[in-house]
Amino acid sequence: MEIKVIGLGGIGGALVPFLVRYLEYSDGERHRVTLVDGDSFERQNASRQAFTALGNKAKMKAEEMAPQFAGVSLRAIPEYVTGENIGRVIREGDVVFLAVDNHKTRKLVSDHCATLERVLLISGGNELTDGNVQVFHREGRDVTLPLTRFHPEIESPADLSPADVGCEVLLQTSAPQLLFMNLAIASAMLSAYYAWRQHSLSYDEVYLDLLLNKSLPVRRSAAP
Amino acid sequence: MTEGNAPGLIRVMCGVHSLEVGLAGRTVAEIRRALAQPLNIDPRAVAVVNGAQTAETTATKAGDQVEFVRLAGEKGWRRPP
Repeated sequence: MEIKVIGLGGIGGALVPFLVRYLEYSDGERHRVTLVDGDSFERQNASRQAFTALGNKAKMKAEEMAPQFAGVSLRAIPEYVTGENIGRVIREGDVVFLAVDNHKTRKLVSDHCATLERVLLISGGNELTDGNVQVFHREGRDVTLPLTRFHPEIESPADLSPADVGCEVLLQTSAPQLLFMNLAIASAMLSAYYAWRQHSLSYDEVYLDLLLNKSLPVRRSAAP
Repeated sequence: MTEGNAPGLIRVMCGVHSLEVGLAGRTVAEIRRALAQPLNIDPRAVAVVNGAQTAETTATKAGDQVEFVRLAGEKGWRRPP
């Protein structure tokens, strides 16, 4: 099993340190974590993202974390996920944390995962003060639902992917972001991963609202 | 009155909101209209009744779970003007 974290922005950057620390001390196994992002850290990211050097987000984060966690094998793929490289990035048996800012990439990843026999895809996204986490789990069949099911905005995405236009252009078309909301989504994604490891995952999607300080898990697929 | 002996009750969900209301017998469209504001239901939200996507003209029955699936968060992306 290999873990892939796609997107090292506000959500992915918050998620990775806790994920890697957990893996380092969880079970004595040497886990492999691959960070995937074609974007670069820039000074304007500092309000919501922690980084120690400018440069490609996947590379910089892997280099930052590796010395602290010798028990985890960290590597970087400094690329956006595209139709051309997705077969190389996500493979049979992977656990995928998807923390991107566009539905086009969500559909691409979900559709690819649907072609695999075994995969766990945990995808998070948010607006300013609310958001959601979706879990697509396959074990020879859909244990939970693909990201596109009941979500026409993902099935027929109207947005752009950074592979098409670059994060700089996406940034110009994005609304303000809140660090706390990114953190809440990252935490909910890790909660879903832990529940899966404990064989206790019981929902397809969970919604979060920061102002109400409320979350609600929803199961739409048939109960196991 | 408990859920078990209260005919006419359905559970309606949207995002973090979930409430039990006496709207059984109403169509999905009527429920959407009645609760659009308190539950902040997006007009584009898909209606799912007991786990299956359902037409707006479908009448609900007591005990149904009606969800208006909140659109997925996109990290604030908005369509360029």
